[in-house]
Amino acid sequence: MQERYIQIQFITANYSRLQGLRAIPVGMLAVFVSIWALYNQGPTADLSAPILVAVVGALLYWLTDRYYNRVFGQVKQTPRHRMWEFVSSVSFGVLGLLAFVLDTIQVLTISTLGLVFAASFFEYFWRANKSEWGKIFTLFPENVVAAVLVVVVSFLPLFGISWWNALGIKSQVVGVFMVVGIVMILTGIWGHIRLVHALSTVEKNK
Amino acid sequence: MTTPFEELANLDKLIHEPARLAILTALSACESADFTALRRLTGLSDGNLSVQLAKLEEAGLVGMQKQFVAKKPNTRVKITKKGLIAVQRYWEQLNAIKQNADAWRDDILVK
Repeated sequence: MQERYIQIQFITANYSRLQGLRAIPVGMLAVFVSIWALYNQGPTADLSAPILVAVVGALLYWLTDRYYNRVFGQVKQTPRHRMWEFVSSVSFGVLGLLAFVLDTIQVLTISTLGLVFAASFFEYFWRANKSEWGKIFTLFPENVVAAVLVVVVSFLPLFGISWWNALGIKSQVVGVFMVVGIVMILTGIWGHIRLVHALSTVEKNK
Repeated sequence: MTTPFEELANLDKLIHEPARLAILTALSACESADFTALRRLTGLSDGNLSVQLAKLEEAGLVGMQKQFVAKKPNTRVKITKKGLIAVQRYWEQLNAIKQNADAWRDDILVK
């Protein structure tokens, strides 16, 4: 298959995943909750601010969704693709909750929450890259960088490095959450730029 | 034995046209896509995309559903089973032609 058509097929099959701006409200929420957690802890903590930010985040997500639907149109993925997407989302959601509990009660030195996030970043890359298109495209490199970064951050305490303290953050869970939020924002921006670039390349090659 | 040029002439003309091939290739990778997405994915103008979609629909390779989404017209396009088989066969034929052309070229160079 010629490169142009491989590119069209790849973009179509990953259309929603390439719409990186969707990750930004989620990343912003993670960063905000981390900052909020620095100053509000214990049973007396006021939850109104994070709830408000969650509402704003949901609104931003909805606006992003509308923007993509209006400007880039809609592609409905194959049932198999949607099923896999659903299974992986639910699995990582459950694993994330378990990891959060593990990290909160500090069972392990390393951050299991970080490892779950890293696995989700990597799964994203692996799923797209296992196909033959991976030979021609450099797919989702930012997800690999993000996964490696979060793995490193998760394992640092094993070597006695409490990096979150150096940043003025009291707990490892909050630190990891903040890193993941920042990484989500950056990978989201990168993903969007790549989508725009890929579509303009298709247009140029027509 | 047929030459690669003769084999090329046997390709499905309807699919061989680059705009229609781009549309079918995109639709073969998803369940359905709307008009805007197809325009972005193929880089075609509105007019050209409409014309090519009409030809593909006439041949029974795609199906179109017109609806209103948020009070705006929206055309959703889906590849038919016939279209999917046709585009898959097209790529198989083209790959075979490429292999034959490589072998034919090597043969000519040896002679």
